[in-house]
Amino acid sequence: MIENMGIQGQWFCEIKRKNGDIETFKQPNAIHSNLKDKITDAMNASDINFSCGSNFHGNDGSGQGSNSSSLTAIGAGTAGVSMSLSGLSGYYGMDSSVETGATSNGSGGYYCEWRGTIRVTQAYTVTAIFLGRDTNSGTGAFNTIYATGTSWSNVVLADGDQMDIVWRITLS
Amino acid sequence: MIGIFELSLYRDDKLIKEVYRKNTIDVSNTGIKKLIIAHLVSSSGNAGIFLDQNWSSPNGSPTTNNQEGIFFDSSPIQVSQYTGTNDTVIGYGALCSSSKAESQPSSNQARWTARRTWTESTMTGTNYVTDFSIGMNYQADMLNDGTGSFSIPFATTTLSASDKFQPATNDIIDITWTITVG
Repeated sequence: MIENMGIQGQWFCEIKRKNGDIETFKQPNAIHSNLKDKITDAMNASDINFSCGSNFHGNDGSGQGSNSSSLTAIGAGTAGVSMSLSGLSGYYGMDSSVETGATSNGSGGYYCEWRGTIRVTQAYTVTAIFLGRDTNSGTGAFNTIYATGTSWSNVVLADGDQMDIVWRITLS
Repeated sequence: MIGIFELSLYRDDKLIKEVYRKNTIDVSNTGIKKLIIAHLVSSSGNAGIFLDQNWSSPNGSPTTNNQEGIFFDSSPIQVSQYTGTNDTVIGYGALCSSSKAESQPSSNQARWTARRTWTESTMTGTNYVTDFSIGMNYQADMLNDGTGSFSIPFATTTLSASDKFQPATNDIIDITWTITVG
């Protein structure tokens, strides 16, 4: 029998507290129909781009270097990992990058990964996370959503805490 | 991702065989899955997986490289002659061409259709049509009999012993290949 393993996601979260404590969570997540539809469109047209390897949001909220000292709304047209924050409207960005390029998973498929990082200087509560590209200028949501953080529980961050999200997409 | 391969064989305007098979999607280092994942983390550009059926001959003879669509292996019956830059190589691949565009059956399904009229002599003896491929950038095998392969394969399927067949002259072979991104 031939099974359709399909396209799958998994997010991994690591929180480094100011006092040195480390907390980790991970959860498989479904892939949004936006991305599935884009892949399908690309098999039927020559001009389809669903790449997410550049134009990332670049502020981690640390105040270090070129980073501002608070988290900022994800900009129009940008890509990467974004968040919803308690008490704040819209979507906020994580300092995002490609973590792992196309890699064989050893069992008939390939995966890639992205990383998002924030290092906060004030208290925030992260209520949801998202992966995608091409942020909408009006809503701040991704025009092409890759995935949302299934089973995400609110994460309370305090001054000095760092949160990293590594998001993997596997095509089996 | 998964493929659905459907074959209909017509003889004297009558449907004499139907085949329905699920098939896996290519996982080679040059195949479509690798290309999709590589594109996800690329910095720009188009995905490069547009399968635009473009066999130029009515019967889809592989007269040039770099074309895309569906083909089956008809060895040992010669059905075409491949002419390369410096060589003329006899080919045994029977390629199905399609002149009609196929709309997507749903937002996460891509579909291609192809037809070939078998104009050659009836296949006999221990020879059967069994192997079908779909993909991009056909490359003739210049070192062997000319039957080639796709440098960007999407999927292949091999018919079972009960499904394989021997086409007779003027048989019509219809193929529908659907890939679901799920």
